[in-house]
Amino acid sequence: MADSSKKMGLMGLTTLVTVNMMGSGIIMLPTNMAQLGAVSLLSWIFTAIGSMAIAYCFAQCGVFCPRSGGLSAYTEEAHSKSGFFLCSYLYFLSLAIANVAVAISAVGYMTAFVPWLGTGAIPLCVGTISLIWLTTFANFGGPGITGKIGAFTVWGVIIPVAGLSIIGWFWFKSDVLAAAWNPNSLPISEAIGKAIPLTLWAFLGMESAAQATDAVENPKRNVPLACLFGTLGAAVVYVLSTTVIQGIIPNDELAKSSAPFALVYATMFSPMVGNIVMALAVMACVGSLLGWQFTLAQTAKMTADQNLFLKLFSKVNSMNAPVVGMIVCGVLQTLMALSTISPDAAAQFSKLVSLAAVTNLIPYITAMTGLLVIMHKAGVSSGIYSRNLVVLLIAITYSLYALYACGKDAVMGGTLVLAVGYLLYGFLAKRFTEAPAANQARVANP
Amino acid sequence: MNVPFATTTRLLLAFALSTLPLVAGANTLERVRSSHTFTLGYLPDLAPFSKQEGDKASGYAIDLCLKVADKLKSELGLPDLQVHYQPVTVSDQVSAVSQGKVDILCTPTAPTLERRKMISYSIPVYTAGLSVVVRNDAGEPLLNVLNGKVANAGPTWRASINNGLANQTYATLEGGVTEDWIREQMRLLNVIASLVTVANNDEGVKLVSEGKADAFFSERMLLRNEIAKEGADKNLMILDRIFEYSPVAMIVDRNDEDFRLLVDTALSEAYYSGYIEKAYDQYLGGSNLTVKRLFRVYALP
Repeated sequence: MADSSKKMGLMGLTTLVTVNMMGSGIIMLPTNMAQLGAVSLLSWIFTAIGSMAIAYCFAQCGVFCPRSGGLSAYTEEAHSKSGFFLCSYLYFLSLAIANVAVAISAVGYMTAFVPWLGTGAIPLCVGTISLIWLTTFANFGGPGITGKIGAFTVWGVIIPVAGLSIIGWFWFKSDVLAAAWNPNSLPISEAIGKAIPLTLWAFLGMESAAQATDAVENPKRNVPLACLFGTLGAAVVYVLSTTVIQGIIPNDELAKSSAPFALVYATMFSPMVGNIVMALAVMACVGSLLGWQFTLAQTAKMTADQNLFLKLFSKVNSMNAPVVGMIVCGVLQTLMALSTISPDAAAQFSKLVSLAAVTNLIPYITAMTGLLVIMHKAGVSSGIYSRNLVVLLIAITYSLYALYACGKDAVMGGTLVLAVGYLLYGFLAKRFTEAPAANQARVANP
Repeated sequence: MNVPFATTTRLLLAFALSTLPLVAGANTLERVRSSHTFTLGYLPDLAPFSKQEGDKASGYAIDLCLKVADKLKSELGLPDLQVHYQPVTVSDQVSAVSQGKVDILCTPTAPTLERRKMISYSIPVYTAGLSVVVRNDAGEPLLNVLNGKVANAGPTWRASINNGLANQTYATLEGGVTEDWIREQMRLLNVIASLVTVANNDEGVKLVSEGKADAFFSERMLLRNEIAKEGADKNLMILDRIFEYSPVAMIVDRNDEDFRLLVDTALSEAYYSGYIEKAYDQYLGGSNLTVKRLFRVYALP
């Protein structure tokens, strides 16, 4: 194990969580919301509360179960070893796919500066693969370096997005917001119903604090705090920035902007500032990809440490980085990125991205249900138990709804992947079973 | 102006007005009977509906007009009736009929209240459909949107790929009702797109083919014809979806119910006899269930 100086502190972890969550999703969010009108802001009430409930449950898991393994470890508390494996397996797939998608989006935004990248499928693919390897190599320096790079790239979000949440109010006009309220004259309930899917999954990523347990100083304190602060920070920034932007840019313009944050800064200052903001957003997007590649490798490492993934995933270098596993992930992702060259495969890949959201949400449910056992083992007072139970039920309800709303194609694909996971675990299960009569030594964790 | 004169004028006017339908009623049929010719007006470059061929014309609408000519022959007892083909332009298609330069405008147009002040219409002969042409390599999000589905059916999260949607360019004919319709739709479908207008179908199809626009909205049959004509069908496709329907009909003289009745009779018979279905097969790529249902709606019993 590396010494603590190579590990991540509370600030580093909190920014990792926030940047991971906002990633590339925030860049287009104001446009998508403006198409429904400012009425869509009401959906935050629902999604921010639900997401905070999930973050709170993860934090409670972290407080009472500070062991390594993140979501999978929490899952094991209630669902034993097969739960651990399935959780890791689903989550690993989710990240491996989603990270390629984040890279594709990042390259898409880079076309503003490097037009060549937008000239066809091959340049896009080349850009995506380069980005995957860039963020893989950057992680070779270990968690300490990743945290430091993250602490730098986070300014790409803080300046444009969080900055807008503060200084934007000087340009805010309530009549612009009022005019943008409901441009399609939809009934309020219908408008909110349509807006919820825009923000429902915006908080996916809050678990990345728990996934990094191994690489954090004082995880018992820092993991729960980073999970809560990171989610809260993202919620505040999401709500404020998407509100203030609708009071600055008239709805018509905002609804058809392909770079809303650049547009708002160009309006407030000058087009030059708008371009800088776009560059910052791309930087933050790449920073979030770096964070996710780190989380992907950590998830594989923790699972391999439990003798559930190939051992090569758990080999770390002197900087505490699981380099071999990272390279394997990079190769896997390169193959995925290559397949998107053909338009048909690109369409299939977008289905895979939807499936990845499902395999991200199932681990939420398995991990949160672990809290019931975790609290039982920790012998918490009945007051805390009932309080946590109420929050847990809210969080589970929210997760189930988010799962349902992924749509039947994605859920079906996710279910098939889950079923395959059971097959895979079938091969591994003997490692955790006492040998019969002969009473040989356990073939488990060496 | 003195009173007796005014009264006289009014009387004259009253007389003129009361006899007008009678006079006009005789107009087209009388003209055909006395001249032994039936003059078909048509737009010369609107295949597959009407297309100039030397001093004749061909197409779906021309065939239907010939059915009307057959009806005239039998009703008026004129077996030696001559058919003249008279090309007209879009700008004078209405006045050509109202001034009696042609007896009927074969190329179907959409009735509007404004046009009805000057001319009248037969029963519908075709249902125009607003359709769209895209390149074969159009991305799935664009196809989804154009097919009325959500661009990306899956969840919207950090991994959703946004760039597939960004900056689409749509094209449509200048000044059509389509323009407003598309603007309205773009808002509701989560599409970031800009709209350009073009002067004619030729230009619109070319824009898409050359990659300067991603989708061009126009009438389905005209698009089909345009693509076939250009020989550009290799990289273009028309989506099956019809966005809006509009029945179109032939223009006849406004004050000539007798002639209009004859035209509608000929067309209704063509609907019932299966003649129109055959013409659909020949010119319009065949009919389907919806189209056949509309045959029954349009034909008068």
